[in-house]
Amino acid sequence: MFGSIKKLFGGKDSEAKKVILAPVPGKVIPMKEVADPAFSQEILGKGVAIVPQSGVVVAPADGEVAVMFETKHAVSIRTDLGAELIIHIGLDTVNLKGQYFKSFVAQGDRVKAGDVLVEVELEQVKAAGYDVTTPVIVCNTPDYPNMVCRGGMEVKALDPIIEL
Amino acid sequence: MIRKIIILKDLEGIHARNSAKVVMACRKVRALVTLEYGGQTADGGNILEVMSLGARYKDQVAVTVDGERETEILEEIERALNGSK
Repeated sequence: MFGSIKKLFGGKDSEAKKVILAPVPGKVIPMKEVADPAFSQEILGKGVAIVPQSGVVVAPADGEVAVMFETKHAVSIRTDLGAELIIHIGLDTVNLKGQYFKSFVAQGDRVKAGDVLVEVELEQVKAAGYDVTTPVIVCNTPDYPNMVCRGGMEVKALDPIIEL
Repeated sequence: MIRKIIILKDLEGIHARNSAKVVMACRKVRALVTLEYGGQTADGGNILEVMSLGARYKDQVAVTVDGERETEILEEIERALNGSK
């Protein structure tokens, strides 16, 4: 029995490494339902989007901060396993020029899954007229032909959303 | 091979949407496209590299296109960096 539990955990562990976790809690929607063609047409890559319930955005995997935008509305993580991710908090939020956003990491920082990257005042952003839907994109999509993007469910932060 | 210095006219500098357009332009043809800014070089086909340049409004970005339909691709990149729809 101990062996099977160990195996179970072992299995989970190795699986967890190939998974991208939710950076925010909320409802996961397919990328094609995002109201912005830059994302819905998967030009930047495949992935999913989350309609966030909390403005605390955490690292979806272990890796390095590849880009932290000055405007803090988007952050890019290069995971230790080679996935190049963009978390884009809200649509057209570049126009807010950093207002309502606070960043906790800088370009080049090492992060572990769950480390807080950015905090955003969601209600303020909504009140300013922006859609807060947050796409999580795998930019190097061609490297992952078997990628599975899950959608349609409610997730907590760090629940799996994409299998590479 | 053609090369041009483009002055960023997009008020927000380089961000996700305009980098996506740059990448789209690069992927249309077989051409090697590089963007240079601040001593860094980005492969025009790699959005993360393009965004990592961190170029802002009025910064000068050197764009080199080597391959098919160079002029057309360069113009498309220029339009993307100018923030036109």
